[in-house]
Amino acid sequence: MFLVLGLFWVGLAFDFSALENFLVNMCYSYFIGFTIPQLLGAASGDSIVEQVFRLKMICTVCVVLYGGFLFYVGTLKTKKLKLQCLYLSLIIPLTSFLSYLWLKVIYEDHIISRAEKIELSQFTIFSIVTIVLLLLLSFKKEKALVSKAVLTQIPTADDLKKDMQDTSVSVDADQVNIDEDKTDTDKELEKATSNEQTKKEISDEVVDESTGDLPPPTNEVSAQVSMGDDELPPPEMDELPSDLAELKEGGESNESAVDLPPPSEKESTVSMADGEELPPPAMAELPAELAELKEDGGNENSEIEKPEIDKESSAT
Amino acid sequence: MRFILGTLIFCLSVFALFLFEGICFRMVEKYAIFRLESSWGEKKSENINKYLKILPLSHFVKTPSNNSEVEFSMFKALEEDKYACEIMSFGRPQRDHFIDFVNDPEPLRKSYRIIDTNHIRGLILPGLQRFPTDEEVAKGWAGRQRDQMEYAKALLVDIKPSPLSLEKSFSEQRNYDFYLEQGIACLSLPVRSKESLLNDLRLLKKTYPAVCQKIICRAYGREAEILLTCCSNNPFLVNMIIVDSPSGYAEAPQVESAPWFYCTLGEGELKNMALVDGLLGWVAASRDSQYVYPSKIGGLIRIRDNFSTENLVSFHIPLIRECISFYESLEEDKLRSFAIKEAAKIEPTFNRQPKVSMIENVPDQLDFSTVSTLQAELPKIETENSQAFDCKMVREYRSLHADDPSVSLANNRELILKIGTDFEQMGKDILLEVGEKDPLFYQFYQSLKIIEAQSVESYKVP
Repeated sequence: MFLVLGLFWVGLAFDFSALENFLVNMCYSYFIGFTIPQLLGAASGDSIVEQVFRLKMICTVCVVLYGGFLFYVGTLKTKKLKLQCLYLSLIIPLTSFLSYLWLKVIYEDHIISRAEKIELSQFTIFSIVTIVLLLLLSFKKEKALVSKAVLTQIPTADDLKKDMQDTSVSVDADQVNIDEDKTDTDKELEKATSNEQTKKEISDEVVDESTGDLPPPTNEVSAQVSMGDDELPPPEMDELPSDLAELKEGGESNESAVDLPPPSEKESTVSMADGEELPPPAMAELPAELAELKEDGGNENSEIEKPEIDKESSAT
Repeated sequence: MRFILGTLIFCLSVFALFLFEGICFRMVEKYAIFRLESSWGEKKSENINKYLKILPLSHFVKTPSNNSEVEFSMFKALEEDKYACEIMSFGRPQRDHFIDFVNDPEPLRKSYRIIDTNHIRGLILPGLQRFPTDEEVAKGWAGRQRDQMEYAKALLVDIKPSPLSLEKSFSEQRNYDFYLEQGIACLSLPVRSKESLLNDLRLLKKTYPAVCQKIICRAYGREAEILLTCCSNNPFLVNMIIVDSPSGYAEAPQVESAPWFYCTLGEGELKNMALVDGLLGWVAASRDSQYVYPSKIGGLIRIRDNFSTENLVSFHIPLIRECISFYESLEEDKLRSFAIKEAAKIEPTFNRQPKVSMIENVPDQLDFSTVSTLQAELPKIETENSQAFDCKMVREYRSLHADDPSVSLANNRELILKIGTDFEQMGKDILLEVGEKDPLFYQFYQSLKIIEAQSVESYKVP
């Protein structure tokens, strides 16, 4: 737009005759009995030069204003706002010009012939229709445009009923599954806790034996210790399930085995940290490859651990 | 936000209503007349509507003759032109109709009866007929009451230079057709002198009393001067005078219920100050009436320029209609009076310096458009003195002589003459230099000097 403006002025500066003629002809063309410059505020006594200059200035001002306005519209973010601005940019000048034209006709001592009246009424009707259309477009909500697309996606009452029914069925099924899972996990947890407890007890007993003369800790003391760790006291033998009771008994029998090396603190901490993990699978259950890997790993560990043990033994 | 929106909608609605009313007034003839009659009352009314007066309607525009500030006749004429334009805004729908009628390329022309009386030839009658009243029978206008008599609402006498050719141009014929359709008889009358015009008018009145109850005379140039001279001494002969660019003028008749007066002048003729003064006198005399209608539109003057010439062709149409209906209403009650006005009733604003009998032109340097532009450029000040002939030089002189009571008492006109004479005595070059600095002062001084000289001469010449 600004480029056009530049070209316009350059054309005029270099006496581009077509442009000059266009402006001069505009000074002689009539609309409702007024010449175009008269409609744009020129006095009847103004010379052609003045009228042409007025036209140039008005043209420039309009282009600059619209250029600036379009630039501003480009900076707006939403499409709706942009469109509204563009509609208003047509509505406001058109309404203002129409009002101005009528005020000019009302207040000036200007006689209008039949042909000019037809011209005026045509312009008025065209302007009013355009203004009303643009106003309707600018007031039209975007919701209405989107609704067509969305309407297909909005579920009907039947769909909702079906969904409700489906969801209720699936919820029931899920609850059953959840219950089953719960019982499984409970069992596993119980198993895990029992294993840990037995391991703990075993390790405690080994430590006690290694200290020698110290009196063996009573159940009460162990209970106090365990209370100090914010843990519940161990259940009585009668309360324990049969499996756990067997394990407990087995553990007690292992207490007598002095040959076994005392478990290192590392191992105990690892076992404590992985309290929630399932016990490692048996070698027989592992696939052949994993079993080999396990064996290799075990040898390596033995190789690594050996010097440590040696060190400990030398220290003792 | 809602309040602002509400206010905006209210303002827009009021504006739309205002615009709609204006459009109706401009386009619909019946509404324009209705609004006029609502504002001014019936034709014989002496008071305007006091409630509608509050509204800013064009019918209540202040008459320019009340403005005593304007001293130049030209400015007065320009003010009169503006006033006439505004006050006659109600007539535009009818003028539109007239223009359409005249410019109709394929008109359906009616045939009218054309009669001759002695040397007066070509009186066109509109063809209206009615039964005469007892009074009319007694006067001898009709033989008996059962006989229908031909009449017209008025007679339009188009005064032409002698000898007159009976051939009329198409536009002139269409003009007559329009008047005839309105019930106005038409006549083209060649005139050589004031006496011949008087005799012809009297003859017409005597021969066709029912047609010539109201006479409207229209003339141009020299014939206009003859018409004015004729009507100056015999104001009762005509009801309305329409003159275009008269070459001269006569004193306005100082009678009650003077004929209505409408005049057009070219822009160039405004420099003839004596003529403009004289015509303004006619305007004032015609508007000096107790009735609302003549006091508003009884006397009007319009200035022609390149743009307005076409428009002014039809300006007198609504004026003629209002004049006829006004006199009709007066004649019903026989209220028209030709008593001589009392001296005190003469328009005070036209009591000016001794009348300039010689027709002298204002110097060419005095460009009135420049004067008004320069005056508008002056910063506004509040002063007890008159604003007329206000210019930078006078202001400076007043500020320099603030202590001098004679200066504060003197008006701008006197000061300009005094300062200008002083400068002129110092040398013409100095006056020209001053003129370059304050062109408004220079223009005022030049024109006042000429007026002074003219008035001195008029005192000398008996």
